[in-house]
Amino acid sequence: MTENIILKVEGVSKSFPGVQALSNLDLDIIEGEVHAVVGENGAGKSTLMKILSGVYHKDSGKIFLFDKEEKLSSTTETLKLGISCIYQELTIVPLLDVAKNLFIGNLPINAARIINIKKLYKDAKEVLVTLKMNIPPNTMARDLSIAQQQMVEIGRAISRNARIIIMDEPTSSLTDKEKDILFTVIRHLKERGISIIYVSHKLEEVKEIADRITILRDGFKVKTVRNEEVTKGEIVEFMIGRKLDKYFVKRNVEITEKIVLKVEDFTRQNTFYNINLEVKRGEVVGLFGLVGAGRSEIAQAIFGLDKAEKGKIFIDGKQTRIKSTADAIKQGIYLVPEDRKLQGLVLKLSVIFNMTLIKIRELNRFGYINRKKENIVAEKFVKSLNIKTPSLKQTMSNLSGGNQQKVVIAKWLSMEPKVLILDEPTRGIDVGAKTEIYSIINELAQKGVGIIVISSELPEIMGICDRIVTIFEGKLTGIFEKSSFNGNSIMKASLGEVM
Amino acid sequence: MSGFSLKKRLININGIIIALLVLIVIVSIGSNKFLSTSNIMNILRQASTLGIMACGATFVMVGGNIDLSIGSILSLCALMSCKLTAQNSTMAILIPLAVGFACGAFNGLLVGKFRFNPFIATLGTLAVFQALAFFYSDGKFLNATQNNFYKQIGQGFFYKVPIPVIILIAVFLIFLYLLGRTVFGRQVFAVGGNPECARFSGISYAKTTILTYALSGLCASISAIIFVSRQMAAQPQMGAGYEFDVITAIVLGGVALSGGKGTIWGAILGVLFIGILKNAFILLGIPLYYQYIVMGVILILAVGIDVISEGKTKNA
Repeated sequence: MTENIILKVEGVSKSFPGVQALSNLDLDIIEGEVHAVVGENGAGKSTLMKILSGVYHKDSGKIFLFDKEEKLSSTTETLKLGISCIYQELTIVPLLDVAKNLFIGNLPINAARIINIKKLYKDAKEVLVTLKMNIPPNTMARDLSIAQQQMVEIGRAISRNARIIIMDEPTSSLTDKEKDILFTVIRHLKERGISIIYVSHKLEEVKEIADRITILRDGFKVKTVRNEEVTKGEIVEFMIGRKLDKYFVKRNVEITEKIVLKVEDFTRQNTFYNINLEVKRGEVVGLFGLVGAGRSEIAQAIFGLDKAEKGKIFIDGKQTRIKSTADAIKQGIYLVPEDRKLQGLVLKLSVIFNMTLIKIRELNRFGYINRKKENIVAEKFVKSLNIKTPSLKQTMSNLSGGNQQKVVIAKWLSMEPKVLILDEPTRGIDVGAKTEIYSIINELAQKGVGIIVISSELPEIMGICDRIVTIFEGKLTGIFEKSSFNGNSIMKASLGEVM
Repeated sequence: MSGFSLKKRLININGIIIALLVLIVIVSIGSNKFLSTSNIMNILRQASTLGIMACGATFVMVGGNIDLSIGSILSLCALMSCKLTAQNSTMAILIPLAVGFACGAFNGLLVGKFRFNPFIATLGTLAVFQALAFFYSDGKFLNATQNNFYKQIGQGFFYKVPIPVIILIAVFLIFLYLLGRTVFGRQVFAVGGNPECARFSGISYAKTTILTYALSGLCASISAIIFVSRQMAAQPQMGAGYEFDVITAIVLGGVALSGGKGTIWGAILGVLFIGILKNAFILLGIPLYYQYIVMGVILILAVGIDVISEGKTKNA
């Protein structure tokens, strides 16, 4: 096979106030390859992606497409040049059907500028066949699963004759099965000579699908390697620039027999049924199940966000009524939410505002905030959690994902919880930050906090939990003690298969 | 390293300061009376009622909502205060304050508890409170009973500074402190900046919103009392259109329409800008309808700047 370089990036740099996001980056993309870009948060992956898709403009350097220098000055221009980008947040219009979503912005029109419906549905069918999707083109987009919606996005790129498709964390909301379908489609696209730039944190997937891997660190390229030349461990080393002994921090906590939180017979129709749960002081309990199984809903009901219709909560053996999040916080139950942007942070406000939003309940006298103490608390957490920010007054949205997540965690840690619920605490953050978050969880357990972790990643939940509870369609389907952890049976229980 | 956000903040405040300075230079060239002590005091006195209401409305806007009913609350409270001067001055002050607070809390209940769209809810109460004002006065012009203490509120001086200006400074300082330095202030920012995040942080959207509207209503009633005391009379439509000036002033002062952003300082600077502009129209003898055009254009420009700066923060 001749290696036809279709995209060449030469010495591209980009800086934002206070941050050098990309430094002198070189990269080439070969026709028909899957080129993975990996790196910790803040390594420059998103910046690179946004420059290639025309959202950001490079400060310096050159970009060649088919040996011709291009400016990539706008998203419309890059689309025309054949670069399509599929973001984590999908851009499907729920109230339009699949065909219209596929050709949105690119609808076949006749001379009178009226949509050629016949051609639209015929073309749509062709695209769907390419994608091996067996759905009628007039299905409403809102009736599609997330995975199908993502396929439609890929279909959109195909319909625009994209030569390069950039995918940002494409599997973040997919099940394993859906991921396999996606990978089949990616391989199929490869055969058609389309190049894929695959941006992901999940190294297993990268190893599975990529031809070549480019590793970024702090805005620099560490290297580009062929997939078969590196091991996962080596990639991790390149990414963080230091040796990682182990993914998960081992710990030796004595779990006391004191039950700090007990949930009895928790039920909400159509969401979860008869949930019984116990968390002891110093214990880490995992809630494992598919997205949508009711895990987050159970946690949110304990935290007082939504009401359970039936059931009791006991804290330290005493029955307690939790009617609002304020009640829960008073009782020492905290929930670190799943979606940091939507639920965890006020992005347009500062780091310190977000970090102490709950702590100020304690740092005040008659409502007047002691700003000296507030600063001390915030600085302490920036240091202890290794949060990378130029200042406490930095606007939250300027921080990278991992650092944003650490601020969310700091916000709750500052309060000395009795029970801490973490909903997908490591979603979308890099390995280094993940390890730091695991050690935070361990430290808290050592202090005697009862911890519930919700996660979709089995290795993660097996690595950090003392006990795992599986949830399937709102029902508790299994309880596993650490001594009897078995990946297969936990997975089966979470899929509702009877053991 | 904190230079970035500080610089950004300075630019935000600087915009209105520069606009203010340019306006002052232009008007003082146009009229030699402008910079006289008596005219400055006059501007400040005129601006005091607007400024007090802007302080309250800033809370509502930072909380992510809007209050269109303040003009009607002002009218209603003014009539009450005016009538109650026949009893005694304590009642003529306290009862309207309580009514203003309650009217605001009612708005807050609609928006915060029952989740009505704030525009529509307060547009509705604008009409309702206005109607109540007509009922209360029978649609008539009311004269206040002469009362020396009461009269001081709007007409008195404290070391040559008009009492309304003193009240404005007091309200300004209290609200500055309330928004910038207290737990409640932070909660208002949180609710306006991201209501879902506020909920997850144990902050009640309903309570916070009700309180912001109640403060806005309270401020309208303070202004009402100052008005009545200045004129010793009231009529049912005296507050009509006030919301326009207030919202223009605070948007001009950099308070974001989408909530979660703004300062009392900015709001007050916006009020001074509007106050000086209105004074300039009188000094330079420009007809009233031009004033409306200019005010409308300024509101649209200010909103335009708000949209642009919001867009910028989103892209960052």
